[in-house]
Amino acid sequence: MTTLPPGITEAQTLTADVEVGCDVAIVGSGPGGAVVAATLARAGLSVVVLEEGGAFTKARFRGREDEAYPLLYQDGGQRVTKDLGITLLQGKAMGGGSVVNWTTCFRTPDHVIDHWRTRHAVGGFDGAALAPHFAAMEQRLSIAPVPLELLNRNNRALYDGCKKLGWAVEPTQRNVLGCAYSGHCGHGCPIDAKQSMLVTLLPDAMQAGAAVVTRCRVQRVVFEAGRVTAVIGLAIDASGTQSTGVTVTVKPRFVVIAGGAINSPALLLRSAAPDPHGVLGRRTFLHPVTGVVGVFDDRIEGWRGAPQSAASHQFAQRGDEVGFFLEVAPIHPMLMATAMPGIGTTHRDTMARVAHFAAFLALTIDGFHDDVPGGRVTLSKSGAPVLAYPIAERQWRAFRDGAKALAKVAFAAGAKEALTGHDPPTSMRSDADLAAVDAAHWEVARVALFSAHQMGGCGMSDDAKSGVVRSEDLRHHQIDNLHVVDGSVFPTSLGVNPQLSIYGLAHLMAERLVARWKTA
Amino acid sequence: MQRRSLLKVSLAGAVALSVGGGAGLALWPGDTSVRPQRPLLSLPERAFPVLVAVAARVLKGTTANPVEIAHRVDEALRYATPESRSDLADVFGLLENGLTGLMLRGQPRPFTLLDERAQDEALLAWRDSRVGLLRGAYHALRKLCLAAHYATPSSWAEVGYGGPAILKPEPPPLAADKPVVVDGAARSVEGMPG
Ligand SMILES: Cc1cc2nc3c(=O)[nH]c(=O)nc-3n(C[C@H](O)[C@H](O)[C@H](O)COP(=O)(O)OP(=O)(O)OC[C@H]3O[C@@H](n4cnc5c(N)ncnc54)[C@H](O)[C@@H]3O)c2cc1C
Ligand code: SF4
Repeated sequence: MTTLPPGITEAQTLTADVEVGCDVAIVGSGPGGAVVAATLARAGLSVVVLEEGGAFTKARFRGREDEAYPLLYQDGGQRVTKDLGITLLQGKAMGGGSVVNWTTCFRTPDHVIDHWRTRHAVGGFDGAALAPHFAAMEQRLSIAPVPLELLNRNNRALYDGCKKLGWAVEPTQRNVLGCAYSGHCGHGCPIDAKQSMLVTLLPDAMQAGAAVVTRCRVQRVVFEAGRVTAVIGLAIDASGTQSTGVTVTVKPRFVVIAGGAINSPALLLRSAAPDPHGVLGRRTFLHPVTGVVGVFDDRIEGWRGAPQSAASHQFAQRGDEVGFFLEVAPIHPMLMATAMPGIGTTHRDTMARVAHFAAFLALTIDGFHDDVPGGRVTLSKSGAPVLAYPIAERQWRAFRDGAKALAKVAFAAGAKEALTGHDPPTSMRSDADLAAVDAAHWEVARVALFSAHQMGGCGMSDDAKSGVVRSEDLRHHQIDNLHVVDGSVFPTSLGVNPQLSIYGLAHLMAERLVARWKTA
Repeated sequence: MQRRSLLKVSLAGAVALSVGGGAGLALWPGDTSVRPQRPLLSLPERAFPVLVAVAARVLKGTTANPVEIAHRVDEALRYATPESRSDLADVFGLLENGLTGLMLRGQPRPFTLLDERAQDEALLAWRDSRVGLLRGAYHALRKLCLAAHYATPSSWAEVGYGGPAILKPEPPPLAADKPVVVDGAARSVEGMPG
């Protein structure tokens, strides 16, 4: 058994199997894995991070959709729910989703943490315990509000529209330093301005001695007598599509799984992890999104500027109805072409107007109503995750109400036309046409739905019957030396963009793990 | 095709989908004259002419070349799971299958032998189907072709997009990456190839 040198080892270059020993193996290098890696390595523990995605620098981040999606997204950007109803954008790279996300930062709302305590037996921390950890991460990642005058026209339309309607709306906070407002956050930042894990916590971790193995897909963890004894990874070739046949085996004292929602439960399922109460993979949440395009006389050019820099939580808490919040999406040709309906000249003529589009989003908040339990991850024959996500009637109502709210925003902001995500589209010319939204068919694969916020599937709860991990240290209920620290532990969705919630929670938990493991 | 008759056959369509479309290909040979121009990486060869025909309809009126789009879709599918690759191969079989043509369109002609109008109708019949999976298949086909065109610079002028805000030279091909072990003490991953 050897140890790995600090820094990056690209597994596609390994020519023989390796077996490595360390204190802590971390699977996944996104927000959860990177924060834990940095904290543990700084405390003097030997850390090996295993990441399926590649290690890239800004030399490969050229703002090109044809390069970014195959390289930096799960399934090359083609991940989708089982019934093909919801497109799933999820990152895959050294740095995980933080490499491609749109930089919006919100702390976890206190009412969400309170809901977890009262409804999901999350007693291991509260909002006050998390607050200093949010503050620490905000400082490390240069998280600050976007000045109002720097909103691009797409975000400004959301902001102005909400203001006109008297609805709550604010510029968002972003994790950037020296941002050039290129609009390319979703393609990897071309100038390292985005404070992703790739340029912040992973370098921190490596400086403190951590080894990061990229292009290494963990197939399974091995259990013996109630403990994990090994983590088995497969080296993946440079293209990211095939195994090279080389195996990387890590034999750690402790394991932290941080593959993100969908992937972390899938890894535990592949490993036949104990799941006596059948909770693993269940309650996977998506903030499922429906969009409305506002067509303006002026050019909006939503491809430039900070992609997301305004948000409205006016409708986040709707009691018995599912809440939703309003943001916008960047408008690049491919992302927009796949979201717009139709084929042939109909589609082509729509795309010819794309410079005049604003893309408004309603993100629905799943997991807070008994009949909205989210989706369930299972495995395909080849061991890949499959997410079945049935959409409850209550959620369809939220999509309808969300689309109506977005159309109102569009018209208030001066749009001449508003289009829902239906195929064929529902077109409206003014508020007088809003009834068209109710008349449209709200059904799977008749309206475009997508998610960039996957959460849950290894939910935390102090009640072993309803959670995979306990909340005090995110330790697996049945396995002593196994923890899950990423977006998969949330027992509901968040009602805000998830990254800062993961940074803060991981920072708190990593400190607790250090306190335990340094003396163990 | 009338909406009412579509509804009637939707159940049969679901059955056809569940038995898989590939087998029926031989029954109703389609137009196989369009051949791949380079080796295929994901799809079976029999799917290629069907994909080219679909791409021609989806991207009609754009500058896209359907054969090139079909190759790019095939290449993009390397990143999909093995199961979605084989499901998609079935979808092409189903589209080309005379039996489903008979059930859905009232005529047993493979997709590649339909005229352009009938091909559009066939695709829109899937869009409007009561069978969710057929609607999903329509979107999967549509999006793969659209992504293959609109992700590349050749589409930018058509949509008034000026290209990336920050111009960089093309990086070396991924396979050319040399072994890398970065010194952790350097603090930054700057300068690492890739
Ligand atoms: C396009 C896009 C835009 C977004 N915009 C925002 C935003 O503006 N604000 C915000 O807050 N959030 C945003 N998000 C969401 C946010 O990025 C994610 O919630 C966050 O990255 C999740 O962190 P994580 O640690 O849970 O997992 P991830 O970031 O998904 O990281 C997990 C990593 O583990 C790796 N992995 C998984 N399984 C294995 C395995 N078996 N072996 C080896 N490696 C494995 C994956 O490849 C991945 O790199 C966006 C996401 C996307 C995709
Ligand atoms: S908008 Fe700013 S943070 Fe985003 S990619 Fe461009 S320069 Fe980087």
